[in-house]
Amino acid sequence: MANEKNTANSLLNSLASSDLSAKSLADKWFAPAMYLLGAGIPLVLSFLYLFTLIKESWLAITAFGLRLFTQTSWDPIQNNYGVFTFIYGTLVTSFIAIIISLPLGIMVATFVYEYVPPNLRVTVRNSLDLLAGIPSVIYGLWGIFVLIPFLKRSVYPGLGVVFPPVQSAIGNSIFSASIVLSIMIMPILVSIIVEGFDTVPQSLREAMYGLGATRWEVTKHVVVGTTKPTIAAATLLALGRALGETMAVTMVIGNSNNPPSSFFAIFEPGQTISSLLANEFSEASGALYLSTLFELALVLLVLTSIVNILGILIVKRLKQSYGGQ
Amino acid sequence: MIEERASNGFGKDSYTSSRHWKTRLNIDRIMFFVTAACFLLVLIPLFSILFQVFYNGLRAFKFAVLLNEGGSPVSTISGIRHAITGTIYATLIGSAIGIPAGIIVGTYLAEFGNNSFADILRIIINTMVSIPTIITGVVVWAFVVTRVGHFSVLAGGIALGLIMIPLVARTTEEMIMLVSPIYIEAGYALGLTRMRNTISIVLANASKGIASGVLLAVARIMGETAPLLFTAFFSQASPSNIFDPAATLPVLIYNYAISPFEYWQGLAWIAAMVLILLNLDILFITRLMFPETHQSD
Repeated sequence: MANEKNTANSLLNSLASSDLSAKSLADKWFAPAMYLLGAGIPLVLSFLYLFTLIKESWLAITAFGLRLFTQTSWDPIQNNYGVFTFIYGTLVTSFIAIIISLPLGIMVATFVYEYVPPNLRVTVRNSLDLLAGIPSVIYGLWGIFVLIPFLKRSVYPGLGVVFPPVQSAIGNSIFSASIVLSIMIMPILVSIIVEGFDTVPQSLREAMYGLGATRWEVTKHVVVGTTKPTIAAATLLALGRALGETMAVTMVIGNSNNPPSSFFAIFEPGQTISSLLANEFSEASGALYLSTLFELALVLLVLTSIVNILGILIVKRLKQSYGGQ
Repeated sequence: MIEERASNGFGKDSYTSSRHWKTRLNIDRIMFFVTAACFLLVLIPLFSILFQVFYNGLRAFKFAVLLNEGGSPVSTISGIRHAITGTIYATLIGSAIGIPAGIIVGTYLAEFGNNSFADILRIIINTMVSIPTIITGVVVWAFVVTRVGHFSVLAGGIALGLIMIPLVARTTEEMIMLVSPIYIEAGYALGLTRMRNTISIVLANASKGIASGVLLAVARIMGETAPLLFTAFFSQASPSNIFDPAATLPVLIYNYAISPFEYWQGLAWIAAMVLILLNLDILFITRLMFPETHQSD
């Protein structure tokens, strides 16, 4: 009602304030200007990102080629760079985070969508939004002063009994960073999966109930079964977020440029691409050093963009197949 | 029914009292508790973060902290005023860039974007939303900081603005799509030009939703740290103009949290409390002003 009244008012206002028959100069240029700016801004911006990163990293690309990615030594003094350690750190932290939070996320989404009464759902969503809205540097602060002391005191000693390498674990490690990441990606994971649950036709659920299935059986066989593509998309988008997360990781990962001592070196300090940038970019001196850091930024951009575009395309196709809701 | 089942080999009683059914029911009940436990497990960090920020923040809090400029960790009168000023500067510059540009892009997509070219733009924008923000910092460093010659709060604001554009564009398009086409057609029927129609009908009707989306985007850039590390950088004094480097609340939290000084760590907690209060305020205002619009990442 109020909306209609507003519209009527604004219509009357426009009638009163403008001569409708005359097409002013501004009117004539409106559509071209919108095309130019509306399409131009995103195109120019994406070009700017790619052009700047490629131009600045050209020196490193030509100097090292693919050798950069297999070498493990990172030595700014000798001007010798290998980034395997950071690629390893980036991929391993993100994958562990996904391994921890994907099953949890599906469980939480099940609880939120299938078990919680609808009027409680809003509260649940709000608290997830709140979790998503906390700045990542505050996760880092909490990680340093709360999570790591907790892990060192209560989790690592117990885990060390089952899995001996953990005994030597220090607080700031790849594993600690993964745990912080798994907390940070939870909201995006859960909200996309819940959206997916929402698209499952109610008639499918009712058919299963009609056959005598319990709520858990309906969830397991029908809901999760039919939302597998959504869960895949949620995983990809969460992975994209985890790969690029900077501050929280930088503050808890230990920032060590030493190559991983073994393939499964998750309980030692490490470094991701983004944490390396945060630590060394503003102090980098020397053209090659800086150029290598730019190349790492480019690698990170390409990596996250591929993962995200895949996720976006899956979501887009799903929306089309469900009739655009 | 029951007799039939009994004769079909389900035993003497009906299926609903059989062991198999009871197991299935029990699994269902157990799963309820398991999923509820997972949910609580996920909420623990949220409450822990909020509790710790307010507990540690209030413990270290004194009013002078908000009024005093930064300083050495041994002088116990230094504060975080410079960072609050810096955050306001950077957020304002970012908003001045991000809000108009984002609204224009979003309006274009909604009003002129019914083609496959615009579909590609949408994918680009959605990808830009999820570009790691540190990359924006690196790009702005190469593009602005090297040209100006030194770190400045202007460069920081530009970085925040670039992050904001796709956020605002996306929410603007979503909100315009919710405007009923009847209004728009009515506008054209009255002979309004396309510009008048877009401004007075489309944007006017979507303004509430856009405003709420813009507020959330402001809250988001206010908490960004990574893009400011090599743009606005850090300083112990409030910026006197936009070409000065400046401390901001998130960068101050980072720098002070990893410092070995207890006093600075206390300031980091206070800054975190201020930042969360600002964030919550914006979230709260958005919910109060626009209860009908709801959006999340």
